[in-house]
Amino acid sequence: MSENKLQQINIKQEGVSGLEHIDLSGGFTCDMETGICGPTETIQKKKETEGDKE
Amino acid sequence: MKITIWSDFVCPFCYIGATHLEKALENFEHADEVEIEYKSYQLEPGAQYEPEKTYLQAMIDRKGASEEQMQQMIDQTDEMATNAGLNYNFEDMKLTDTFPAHRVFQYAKEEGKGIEYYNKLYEAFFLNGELISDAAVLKRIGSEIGLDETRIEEILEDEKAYDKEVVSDIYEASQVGVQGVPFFVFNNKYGVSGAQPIEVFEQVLTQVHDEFAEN
Repeated sequence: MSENKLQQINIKQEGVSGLEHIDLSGGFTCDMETGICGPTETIQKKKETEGDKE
Repeated sequence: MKITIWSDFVCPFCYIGATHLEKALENFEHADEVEIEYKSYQLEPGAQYEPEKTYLQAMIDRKGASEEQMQQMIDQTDEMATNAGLNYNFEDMKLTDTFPAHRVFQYAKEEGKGIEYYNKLYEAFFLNGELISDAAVLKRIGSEIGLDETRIEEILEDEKAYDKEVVSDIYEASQVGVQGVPFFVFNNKYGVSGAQPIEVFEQVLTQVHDEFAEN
């Protein structure tokens, strides 16, 4: 993958999805950092909250 | 269309996500144009199988979560797996290090058997409760999909065999900004995180196909 393409993927990760009108919020994932599995949004919010506390 | 998937054999939502994608592809009229490539990731690096512990206990100990929290996670996963037609066997699952299995995966991929190998490893871990760090298990699975058992044995005995390929996949995931698995990349452009519902994968397939067909 070229650097340019990787950047585009990063943009999608940050929520500026190029996949218009598709709701990707219902995904279930296993977090790479903690290994905890669950709804992607819940895990991300939890990490953000814990990050804010530190 | 190229779909790249970062995943691990012990990632519960990776198998579910792959099954949802497979079902979406069954309904996709351009499925014959789709090429899937798996990439290695380790969700539980350094995990050692401890026979005296159940999967639940092993996860509680690794994550530092309460039994209630972990049981809740397992119940939620089990429900999703059942809905996807997968009969997860949490009673017999054996949490273990997947690095050796990933080294063999890289060999399988080189031989054009990467997808079959992934599916077999998912079945072995989630459905059959097999120890997927065990050489005999990996050799048997390799043999079932037409790989050379002797070569697998050589790879497992040489800790450096295919280790760079595994590490490279994991490094690439970090460079791309992947935060969780499964992670799907469509045509090296669109990243989709997590096991999405079948209909979402159907929408993504259609939209990505249409965009690239126009250009």
